Amino acid sequence: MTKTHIWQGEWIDDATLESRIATLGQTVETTLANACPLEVILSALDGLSHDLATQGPAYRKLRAYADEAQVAEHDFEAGIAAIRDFTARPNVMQKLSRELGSLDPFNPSRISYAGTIFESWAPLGLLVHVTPSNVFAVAAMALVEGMLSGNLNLVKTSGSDTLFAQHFACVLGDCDPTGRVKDLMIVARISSRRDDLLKAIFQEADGVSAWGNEESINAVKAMVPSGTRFIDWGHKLSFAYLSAEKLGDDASLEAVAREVCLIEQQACSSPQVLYVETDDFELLRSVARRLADQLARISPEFPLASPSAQEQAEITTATQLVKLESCLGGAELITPADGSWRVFVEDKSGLRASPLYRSIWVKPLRRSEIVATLRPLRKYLQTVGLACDLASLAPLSDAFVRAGALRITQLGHMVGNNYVGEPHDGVYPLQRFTRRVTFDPGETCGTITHFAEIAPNPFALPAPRTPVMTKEDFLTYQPKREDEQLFFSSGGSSGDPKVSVFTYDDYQVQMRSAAEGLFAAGLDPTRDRCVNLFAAGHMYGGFLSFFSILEALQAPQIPSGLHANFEEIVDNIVRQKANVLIGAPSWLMEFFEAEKDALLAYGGIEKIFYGGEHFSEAQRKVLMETFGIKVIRSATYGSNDAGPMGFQCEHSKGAVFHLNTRLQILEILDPEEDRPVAEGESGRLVLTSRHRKAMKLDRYEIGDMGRWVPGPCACGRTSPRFELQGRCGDVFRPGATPFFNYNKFVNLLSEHLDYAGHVQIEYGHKVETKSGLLLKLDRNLGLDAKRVSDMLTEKYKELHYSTVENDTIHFEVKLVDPQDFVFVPRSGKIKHLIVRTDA
Amino acid sequence: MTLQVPEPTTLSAVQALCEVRDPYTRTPEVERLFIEAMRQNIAWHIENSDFYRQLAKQEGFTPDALMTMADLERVPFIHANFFKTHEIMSIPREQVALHLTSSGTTGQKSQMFFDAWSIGSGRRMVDFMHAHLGLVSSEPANYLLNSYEPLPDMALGTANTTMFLTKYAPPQRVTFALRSKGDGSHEFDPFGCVEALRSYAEEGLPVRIIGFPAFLYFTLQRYISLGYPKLTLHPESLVFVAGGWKGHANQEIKKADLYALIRDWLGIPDARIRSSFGSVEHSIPYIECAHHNLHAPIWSKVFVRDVKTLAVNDYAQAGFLQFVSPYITSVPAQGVLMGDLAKLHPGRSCGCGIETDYFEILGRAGTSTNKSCAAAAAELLK
Repeated sequence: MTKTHIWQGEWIDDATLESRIATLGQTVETTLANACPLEVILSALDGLSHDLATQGPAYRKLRAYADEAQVAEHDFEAGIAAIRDFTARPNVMQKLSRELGSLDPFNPSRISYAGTIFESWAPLGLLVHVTPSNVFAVAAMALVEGMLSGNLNLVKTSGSDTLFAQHFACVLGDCDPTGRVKDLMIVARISSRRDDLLKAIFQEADGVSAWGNEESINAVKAMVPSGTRFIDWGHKLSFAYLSAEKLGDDASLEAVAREVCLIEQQACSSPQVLYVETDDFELLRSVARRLADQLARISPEFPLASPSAQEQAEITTATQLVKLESCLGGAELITPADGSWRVFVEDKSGLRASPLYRSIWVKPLRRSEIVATLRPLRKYLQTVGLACDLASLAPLSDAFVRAGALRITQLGHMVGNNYVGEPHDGVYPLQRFTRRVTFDPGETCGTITHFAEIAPNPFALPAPRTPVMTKEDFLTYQPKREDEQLFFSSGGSSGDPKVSVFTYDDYQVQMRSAAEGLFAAGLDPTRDRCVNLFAAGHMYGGFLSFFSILEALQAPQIPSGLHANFEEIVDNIVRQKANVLIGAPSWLMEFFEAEKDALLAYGGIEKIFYGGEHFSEAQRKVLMETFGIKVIRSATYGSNDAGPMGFQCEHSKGAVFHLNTRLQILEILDPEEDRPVAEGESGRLVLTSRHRKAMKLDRYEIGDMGRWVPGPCACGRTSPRFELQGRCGDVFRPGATPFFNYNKFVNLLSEHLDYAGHVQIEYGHKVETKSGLLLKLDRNLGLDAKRVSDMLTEKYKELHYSTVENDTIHFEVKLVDPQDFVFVPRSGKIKHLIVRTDA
Repeated sequence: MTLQVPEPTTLSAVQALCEVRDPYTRTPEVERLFIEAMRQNIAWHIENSDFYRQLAKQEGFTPDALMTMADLERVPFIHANFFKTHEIMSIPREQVALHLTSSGTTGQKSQMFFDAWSIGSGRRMVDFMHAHLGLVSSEPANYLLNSYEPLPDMALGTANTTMFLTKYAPPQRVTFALRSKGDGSHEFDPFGCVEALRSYAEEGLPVRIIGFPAFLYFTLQRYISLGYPKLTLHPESLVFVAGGWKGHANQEIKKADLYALIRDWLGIPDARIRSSFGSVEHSIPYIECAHHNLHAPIWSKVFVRDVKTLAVNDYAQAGFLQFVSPYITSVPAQGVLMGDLAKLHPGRSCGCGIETDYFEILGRAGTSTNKSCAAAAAELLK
């Protein structure tokens, strides 16, 4: 027996199909228990799209089959082009966004930061598609939509169909290296005589999506159990409407003539009737004649396709009937001698189907009659091509919608001209293929924002297999002009200005993700009143991004921004009863120091969320013990380059972060080689952004060092955790010496001398023959330079080695005034290292 | 009462033609009569129907254009569907003896009006054909009618025809396949049909099974699945298939296969199984000869026309079926273009002895794609 069915990647014959249908219920359960991640499906689709665009192996296989099945070349190429576009990643993502409002639709997520309600979409389960004969692209698209909505799909083709849909399922499965996508597709060619098989399939279906004429759809519906969602895509009628003010407009008639000739009117959006807003039959006839003139002129531009014998019979019958009608008056037939097009004029408003192939009715319809005339046929109405002026636009559109029309567009735009995410026949298909489900776990959920972050075996997306992207690559990346929507300057501690480009969509997705992180860190939008103290202007990202983050949280916000008028800021805080400060550690320490009395008097600051740099232990101690701050956590670990990368939960200590898995893929690589770092060791953080259209960040070396933190976190999140260990750039070498780390100096000063002030290192200069290392500290914080020097030399192993054991470094501790420290103007952050080029 | 045309003088040839008893011998005299009758018929309708007058004018056609049989293809034709949406009459309403609707599956029903002459002469043709084909018997027969149990006011053309067809053998018992439910609707009764066959077989009289093929097929299927033995009904039994598979088109089997089932399970000889073709719009029935071909009787001329150009096709070329017949006086349906696709064949190629052309039905013409919309729309046009 020949194998004409595809069952989850396997070709099978009729006998096998029958036996598998008998156990279909179990198959559904097993397949859906092992749900294929959406990302895997998107990758496979995008792979197929590229293949089709470049005539790769999938294209060639489909082409070979089409030749064997004698599919007309033109039809094949048109179908392939449609599939190629349909599966391209940007279009798929747009479709998900528009139809389901989310790129992560099946992940239950909070609907608000107040309360504990989560919602998500969920697949129906087994979705059966009954596709129309001989339009192979429809079966392909049904499979794609069915998978995007998370379902296991069974496409039932008719006995007379080719095996194109089966081959499509094969090549699409081949585009997925994980082998999971093929499990979502079954394509079975079942003749309508095998009602028994169909009924068995429908018994297990959670949804049935049926195409066809009314008769075939009713036949299917009769076999579907009640309670199973039935989604029908029946035949539709479309028409053009010429309002009274446009009766003289020949350009409108030309547009109608073109759409009548285009693809022989075979689209359900092709106009079959031209309605004219008039009462006067003579006027109707004159419009019809002018339309006929346009057809006479334009029809020859479109090569004539031959209708089948049956289609031709339909045309002849309709033409004859109009001719007979004209004997009774109130009708006219206008057709050329070669019969290549025909205009049927009839003085009755009733909507009628035309036999297509360039046949159009011209009928009268007053706007006051639109609803009464058309509403009885509302099941069949789809597109209205409307020509009217602005004053008529709203009332006519309203009338057509009330009559049942679904799509109102311009004449000339009825056919094709669809946009990604456009509703089809009045609905979003993806919403018809899914359910909307809700969850209310109550207090148990803590600050969890989506269920994927507490999944026991979280799905880890692999990083792309491309070379590591360096800062040089970042600087030279040229975004597409249409993606350049937001320009941020990077205020990195190393000082060089960079521009990081985002689309608004990139930005919004990132800010929403960062908001989730800030919520996890303990910002409570129902209680907290926050002061945004990051720097604004000069293309800085700090203030703006936190503005957006707080907005996403709907948290009350005092948008102060960073500036030197500390008194004003204190006044804002006190007046608005702020309890949360959000800003950069260096600036915050200065602020607290300078406004100590006022702030102590106020006593209302409870939480600090910081970004850009870190507080040392000593600094934390000051804030908590002196000022009574209860919570000090990172607001987000992120940068203008890569966006938000990590966040802290209420159990996070020091510089340990949870990864923003919705946004990023993280690798920690060996410092020298492109391989994962050895277990427990520190390495370079390399990030791949999942949502950055403007600049493709694949394996971007962010410039920070870190290590994985294994094991579960007490907060319950299973997302990966890592510990930051300073900038790669904080490591330096004064000369032919060991490496030193700026952070180590800071930590030692904090630990042994309780020093919480600024630290700055200069190196690169020579003192006699030795390499210079100058450590600058704040003179007003009770330090003694010699004590500092002695402590560091004793405690810092590499320093001891380079000064006491060997005499290679000239080490000097200098106590300076605060204004003698060098800051990065853009961010207010202190420059950690200054390279001196003087001798 | 003798059957008479509405106007004896102006329709004399129509009268004479329809009185010819031998349905299948087209002599030169018959041909002359046919042409004369067509001229008279057309003149009649031009006079009595505003619509037809206008049509003839539009087509530039006058009765004297008809001189020979070859001219018949110039008779203006009217598509059967036109009668679905228009009441076209050439007689005053008081003279309507019968008003029939067809059981159209698209939801649109033809409205055909018959005066006493038209319905009477049509029925008489059926009598002549039955007699000629040896289908008449004086021996009583038991009937299984695959049709609707009649209600007093039922206007369905098919039911009317079926009752009429019990006149060719006196009915002993009559069983209807589609029983009245008492509320105006009908339900197919397969158990009743099976029982009828069994008891008829026992009684031993000739059995006449008349009507829709679908119900006969379903009855046989039920008979077989109930495990009853094969029957050999009286050799004078007759199966007369009238009407199409219509709403049961998706279960239709080939005619040859149905006939084989009948021969096999009912023991009825092949020559006693006859299908017929008819429609409300052209109420002359066509009955299969002994070789199962639908020959045209002398009262009608059959053409097949190209689906695009409507030019007359050669033999064996598929196209629209068209009938030309002068018998009908109530409605100008003398040149009906049918919604069926067919092929025409020369009579001699059949071999049964009848020499008039016969036609082979290929199926309905046209697409059903928009039919539902069209049907819904048509309802609104009324």
